[in-house]
Parts: sequence; structure tokens; C-alpha cells
Amino acid sequence: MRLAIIRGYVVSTIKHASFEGCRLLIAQPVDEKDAPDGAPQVVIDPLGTALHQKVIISSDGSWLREHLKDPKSPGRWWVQAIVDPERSLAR
Amino acid sequence: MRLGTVIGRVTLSVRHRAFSGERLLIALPWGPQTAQTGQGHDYSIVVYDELGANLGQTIGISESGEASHPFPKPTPVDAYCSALVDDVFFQAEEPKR
Repeated sequence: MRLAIIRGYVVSTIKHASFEGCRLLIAQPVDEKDAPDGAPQVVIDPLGTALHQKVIISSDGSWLREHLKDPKSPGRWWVQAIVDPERSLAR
Repeated sequence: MRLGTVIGRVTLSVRHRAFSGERLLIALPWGPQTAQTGQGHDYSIVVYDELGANLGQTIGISESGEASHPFPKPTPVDAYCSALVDDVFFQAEEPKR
């Protein structure tokens, strides 16, 4: 689980069949000061996250394969939670 | 899944028995700055491709254990091309209101 900020989205016609109908967002992992930390990840978004929202992304591929109902899905990162900006304690 | 740009292909003469009719690409994974500047890629990696990505194309690369999941038998694959990207929208900072 990593803190990340949604910075964009991806349009893809030809993709693995398990991703059909999924929202593919670009999540930039960030440190405690919201500075970029590591390469941006394309994540599957079951929650309906908006652009520039801070989220927690999870690398639990087994949950994602269950969610997509495809045991052969190559997906790994997905949006697990949206951070409440007014209640975050990190400074 | 990381984004990457295809810069080449690999042809094998001797291969693991699980590989047959494989298509291998060389791709530069995007770093934190690449979407804005086109620079700052990570080191190139070899990617297994079943979708037919072309040179110069942007792809989505599934890595680690998940990369070998699409195969019917255990296959030693560490990076798998799971999406051909038509368009990328990226905004590095939230616009001021």
C-alpha cells in the first residue's frame, strides 16, 4: 500500500481481456510531502477516483484477480482508498 | 503496471522450452518526469508481447509475479505487455483556481 496522487488516465483499445471496461488511471506515488517518489503506475480504479485526488494504491494482485473475475489477469496495482484531504495528519 | 516506450525487438536462437513463438520487445519504462518532458526513462527491459506492439509505441508493462499469470503453464516471464496505449492524459500539478 502506497500513498499516491492521481495525475492522469490512459486510453487503450487493445489490452488484456481482463481489463475490458476498467478505468485505467495514472497514479504517481508520493512521499509524505507529496513529492513524486518512484515511477508512475497505471492502476485499476474500482472507486471512481477524480483527477488530483490523493489515494492509497495497493499491490495486492490476488484481490484484483478476484475483482476482475479472471485468475489469469496480469493486473497488480489498484486504488484501494481515497484519502480525506482535511483529516490527513502528514505535514 | 508501468508505462513504457518500445525501442526495439529481441530475436532468440536458443530459448527456454516454455518459450515458443514468443515476441520480445525492448522497452524504456517511464520515470516520474517522462510524461511531461519525454526524458528520464528507467533502464531498458525486455518485455514479452502477445498484443503486437510496434516500435515507438507506448505500452503498459505488467511486472513481477503478475507478469506470468496470463500463461497456461508456468513461464519464466518478468515483464508482460498487457495494454497498447492509444493516448495518455497527464497533468503533473493541480491547476490553480
